Amino acid sequence: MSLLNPEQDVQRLSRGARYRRMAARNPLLIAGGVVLVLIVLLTTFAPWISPADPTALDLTNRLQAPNADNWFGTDVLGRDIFSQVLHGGRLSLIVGFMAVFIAMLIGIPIGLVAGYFGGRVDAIMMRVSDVFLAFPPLLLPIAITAALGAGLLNTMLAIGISWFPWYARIVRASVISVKSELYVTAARAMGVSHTKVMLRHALPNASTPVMVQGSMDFGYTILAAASLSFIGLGARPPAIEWGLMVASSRALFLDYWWTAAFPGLAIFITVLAVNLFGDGLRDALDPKFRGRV
Amino acid sequence: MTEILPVLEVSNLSVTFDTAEGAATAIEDISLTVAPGEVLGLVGESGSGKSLTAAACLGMLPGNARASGSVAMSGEEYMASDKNRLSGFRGRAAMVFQNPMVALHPLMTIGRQMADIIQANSDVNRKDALTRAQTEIENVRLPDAHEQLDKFPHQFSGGQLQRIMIAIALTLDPDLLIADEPTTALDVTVQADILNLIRDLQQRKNLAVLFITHDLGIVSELCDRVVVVRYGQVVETGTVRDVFAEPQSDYTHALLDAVPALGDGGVAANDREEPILEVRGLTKRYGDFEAVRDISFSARRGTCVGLVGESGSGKSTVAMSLLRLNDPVGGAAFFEGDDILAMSERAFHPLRNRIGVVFQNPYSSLNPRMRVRDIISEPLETHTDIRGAELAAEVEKNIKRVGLDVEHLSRFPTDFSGGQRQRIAIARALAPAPDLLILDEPTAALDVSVQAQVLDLLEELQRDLSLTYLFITHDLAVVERLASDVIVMYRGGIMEQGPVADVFANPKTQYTRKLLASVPKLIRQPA
Repeated sequence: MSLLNPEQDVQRLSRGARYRRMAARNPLLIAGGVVLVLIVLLTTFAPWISPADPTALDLTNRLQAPNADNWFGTDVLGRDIFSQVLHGGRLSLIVGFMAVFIAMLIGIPIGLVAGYFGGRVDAIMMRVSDVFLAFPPLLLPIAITAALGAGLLNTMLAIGISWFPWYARIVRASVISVKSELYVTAARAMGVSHTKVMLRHALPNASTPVMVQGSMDFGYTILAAASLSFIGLGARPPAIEWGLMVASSRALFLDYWWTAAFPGLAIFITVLAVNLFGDGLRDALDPKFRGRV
Repeated sequence: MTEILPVLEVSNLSVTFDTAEGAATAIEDISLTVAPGEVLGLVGESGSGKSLTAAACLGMLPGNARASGSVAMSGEEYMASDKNRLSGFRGRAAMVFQNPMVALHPLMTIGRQMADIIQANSDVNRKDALTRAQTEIENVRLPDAHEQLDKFPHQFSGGQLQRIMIAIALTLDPDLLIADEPTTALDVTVQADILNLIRDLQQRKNLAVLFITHDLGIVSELCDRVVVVRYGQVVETGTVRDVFAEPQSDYTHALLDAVPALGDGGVAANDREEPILEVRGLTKRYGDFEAVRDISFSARRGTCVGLVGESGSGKSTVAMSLLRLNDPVGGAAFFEGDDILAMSERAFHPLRNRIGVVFQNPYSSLNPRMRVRDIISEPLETHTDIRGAELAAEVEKNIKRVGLDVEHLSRFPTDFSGGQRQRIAIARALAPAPDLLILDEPTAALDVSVQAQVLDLLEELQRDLSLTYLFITHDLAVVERLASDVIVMYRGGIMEQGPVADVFANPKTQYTRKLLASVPKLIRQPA
């Protein structure tokens, strides 16, 4: 025990033991993670799992309520909704993931440079990213897709662009806190270049908050992508996507609830799992809780 | 019964923490007593459990701690876990903490905070409470007590705040004052004032004091009896005079030997060598504030120059200027004849591996996310082209040189203790084979026995590698041990400079005299 003998080496827990402990303390993290992994597996292997071709029309069998053959029922063209939900997740997840990735790609370098150099550089960079934050969360992606034209690639870009200021802010904040650490001063005294100090000393410190923010944003970006598809600015038919599925059932769901309920439920469960996972990750990695053995 | 009851009697106190690995014992079977009017020193190095003992006495243990054993105040026994009964005892024992800067509410005036405490503990109106507060402020010898009550904590210096903390502790008329390292965060001259004050109040009010400290000099000057703890256990108990003159345990012996004593004379001056560093008229301003004013000194090759001063005296600013980490507004610094302050960053870059630096806090100066191997490689990768096996060999050479093992290289700084971390920091500074090493309080954050080991190492390295040291410290005894020349700084300027033996034996200025007199003296002779 380090408390008793500070001059003794502190025993380092093995990686496995640390993860097991982290898991035991964060049931939400595990629950969210398991559901998320399940969803990723199901959607990835959709072509092999799904009972029917999601695009196969069967007009004699349209708008069937959930039954033994069609677990989630069929839509207005007689397509199997279960198969569609499985396939539809692929686009939703990819778009959500790529949007977060694009947001990080833009936000992290901006935050790094702004936080490290401070002063005027910081002021200009952060005011510019503030402009992006000034728009209501979904309005900006709508405006950007409207300008770039509807389509999946543009959806990812649009969401990524509107989300980057969060990453810029997080990275900037942690870089500023690291900047006053003596090891940064020591590196500068040794003549290590600004770029190296930023990448080697400042950036790793931001990795934890960025990871947490990323995992939580993943839920929002999936939701945003689905919302954009819903209003016709994201995926377009014949692509299969959860938001699009909900949109196409708009006129039907009062009489045929399953057409909207199952894709909606898929969005709901995915976003919930992602958020639980993100929350759990934040708690597990929070320095206030870390090191408390 | 004529027997005098001890004010505090701790019997067989043990504290364990519930951890994921099971119970960890932090204190085992500690027993101690404080008699009325007695000052008991509780001494130990960091992690020895001395603060935890005090916390257990006042029922302030963290939530995952379990205490067993008993604590009695004036004969009334209570368990450290019995929260309901404890509040009554808290009024009878008051505590003063280490860092007065964080112990007071920043948005409330001193008067309001004191009056609140007085009113919470006795049935008096606001006006009487404030009058009482004023009396206590007068008792701790702060001038214009009436005006002080309307001030906020940030308007006071650290020493003044600690006086206020003592005043607050005394408003409750406690039988026992527990002081947990009350002067550790303060400068040595301020420390001397606070210790005087505590001694004064203790005698005037016949207070019992439990004084927790790591500084054996303070114990020697202030305490009647001493309890030495290590790893949560009592190592030795006795009167200060007996224990210090003839320690019974090896640990106490080693602890006493590790304390650098003032008055040994210092290192002989060396005037054969040429100066490697010559600073002339160095001045640095922050806005209108002159942090460093007209500093001139020189350091001969292979010697150690001590730069001494209290906090805010500008000694670290000098170091930062010499490392080109701030831009001085005036003066010159010649390193082997070239003015490094006038150089461009590009021209100075190759010199960066000839001027190394070790900082005070080894907990902050090593990147916790980098392996020791990468930490030591970094300066080599920056300044040399050696890579691969050659680099690995160089890193191994440096880690061995500071007394650590090659197997330590693949670990992270968090796996090491403070002393080991400082060794890693020294290895990093030495890796590019510098000629001048700037040591900015390298031992201030370390325990006394670890400090002695690090000083030994520095001495050895200086001899083996003929290094030149600029040793920045507030500790005069450390300067005396290593340095041949000393510069005493005060408020940005030089008060006095010269060979250590001359300056310490015949200080010319009032300030240096006061500084020397303020150092607590460790007396080990039997009287």
